[in-house]
Amino acid sequence: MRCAGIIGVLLAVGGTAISAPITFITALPVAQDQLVVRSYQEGKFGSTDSENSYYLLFPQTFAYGPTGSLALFATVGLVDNYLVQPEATHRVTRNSSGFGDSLFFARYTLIHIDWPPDPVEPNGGATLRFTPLAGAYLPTGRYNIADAYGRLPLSMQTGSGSVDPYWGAAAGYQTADYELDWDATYRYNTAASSGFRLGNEARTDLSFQYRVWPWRLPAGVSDYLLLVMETNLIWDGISRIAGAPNLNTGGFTWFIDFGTYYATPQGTFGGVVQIPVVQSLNGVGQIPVHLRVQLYFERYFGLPSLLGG
Amino acid sequence: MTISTGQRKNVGQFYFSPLLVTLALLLSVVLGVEVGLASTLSPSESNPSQNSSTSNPPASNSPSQRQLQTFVRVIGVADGVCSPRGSYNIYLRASRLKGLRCFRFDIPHARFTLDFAPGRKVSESEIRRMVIKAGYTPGPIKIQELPLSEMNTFTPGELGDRYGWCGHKQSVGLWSRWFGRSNSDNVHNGR
Repeated sequence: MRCAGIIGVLLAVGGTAISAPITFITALPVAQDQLVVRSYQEGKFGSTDSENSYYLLFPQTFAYGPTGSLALFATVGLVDNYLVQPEATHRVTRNSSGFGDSLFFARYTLIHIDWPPDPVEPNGGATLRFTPLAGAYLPTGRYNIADAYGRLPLSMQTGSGSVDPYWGAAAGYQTADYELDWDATYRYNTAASSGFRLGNEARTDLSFQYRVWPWRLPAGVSDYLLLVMETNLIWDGISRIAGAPNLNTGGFTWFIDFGTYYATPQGTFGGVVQIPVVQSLNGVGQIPVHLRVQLYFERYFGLPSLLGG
Repeated sequence: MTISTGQRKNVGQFYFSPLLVTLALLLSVVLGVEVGLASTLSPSESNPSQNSSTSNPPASNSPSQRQLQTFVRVIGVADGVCSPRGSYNIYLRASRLKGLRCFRFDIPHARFTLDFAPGRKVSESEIRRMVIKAGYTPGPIKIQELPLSEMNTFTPGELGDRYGWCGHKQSVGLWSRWFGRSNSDNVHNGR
C-alpha cells in the first residue's frame, strides 16, 4: 500500500461522497439545500517480519446540494501514522501526523428514475441514480515528512504534494429492503516537484446493504438496521522518487468488507471491517495491510437555499 | 531531488493532535449548524405557533371566516422514497412551506400527509415542486379541505407516528435532534 494518508482520505472520500455505502462516499444522496456531514474514524494495521505500521485516519466529509441534481463534496482528513522499526539495539517508533490531502468534487445526477410502491403489497418505493463526478485533490498533506532518522517512507507521508485531478462515476439502486451501490474513480497525480510524483490511483467499489430490522416495515417511519457487504479494488501506480520510477511502490489490493449501520431519518452510524483478500504489492519493502476498521456517523441538515425556493 | 529532511525531529510530537482537532471540528460542526439552523428559518416557518391566532376563529358563516374553520390537508406520494432518510428529505423541503402545521410520512406507501394552517391555500404545483426539490418524483397528490377537528395531532411514542413531525423543531436537545426523537415540548398540534 502506498501512501496511507492519501488512501485513508480516498477511502473516506471516494466511498462516502456519492452513495450511502460505508467505505465510499461517492453515491451519498444529497437533496437540494441539504448539508450532509459524515465523520470517519479509521484504524489500519499492517506488518512485515520486522516492521509494524499503525494508521489512524479521521476524514470528515461535507456534502451540499445547491440544486436537486448537483452536489458539492469536500473531504478533509487528519492522519496519524506510526511505524515501528528495528534499530541496532532497540525498536524505534516513527510518527507522522497532520492533514491529509483534501478532496473537492462536484457530482451531477445524470440518470434518475423513481418507482412508486407496489399497489398490492406496498413496501416503499425504489430509486435508481447514475452520477458522474469530477474534482481534484488539493495538497493539504505533505509528501516530504522527515524525522531524526531521515525521510519517512512513502507509506508514512500524508499527501501527494500536488493538485491532482479526480474523476469517476457512481450509481445506486435503493429499495426499502436492500440497496446496491457502485463507483469507479481515478486519481491522476501530477508531479509535486521535479523529482517526486506519486503514482496514480484507480479504484472501484461495490456495496450491498440489506435491512434486517424491522423485518417487516411498519406503517409510518421507522429506523433501519442494515447489514453491509462491500468490496474495494484498488490499484496504485508506481511512484517517481528522486527523479526515477521506484519499483518498490504501487500495487493492487482487493478488500472484502463486512459491516452494519443504523439509519434514522436524521442520521446514521455504523462500522465496517475491511479484510484484504488479495495484496499484490510491487517490489520489496512495502508493508501489507492486515486489517482495517472504519467507524462513522452521518448527520443531515437543512440549510437556507442559495438559489431560491 | 527536492525532498527536504529534518523538518520533524520530535517523534510523536503531535500524538494526540489529530484526535483532538477532529473532535473539536465535529463538535463545532454539529453544535454550530444545529444552532444556526433554527435561526435561518423565517419566523413564519420556524415558529408556526405564531400563526395560532388564526386557529381559533370566531364562529361565522362568511366565506373568509369559514376558511378559518377549516384547513387544507395534502396527501401525496413521493415515488422513490424507501428509507427513513428519504422521509426526512421530504420533511426538510415540506417544512419550508409556509403555514405547515403537521407532517407525517408512511414509508411503505411512500406517502406524505401535510396539514396546513387555517386560511392557507395550497396548489398542486407547489407540492409537486416541493417533492422534486427533495430529490424525488411526485406521484398522485390529493388536496382536500377538512374541518379543524380532523387536523392531525401528535402522540409521542405512538407506533408509526414516532417520526410524525407536527410543528417544527426549535429547541430540542442535541441528543433528541440527533436521534430524531420528538418530545412533548416540541409539539404543536395546530389547534
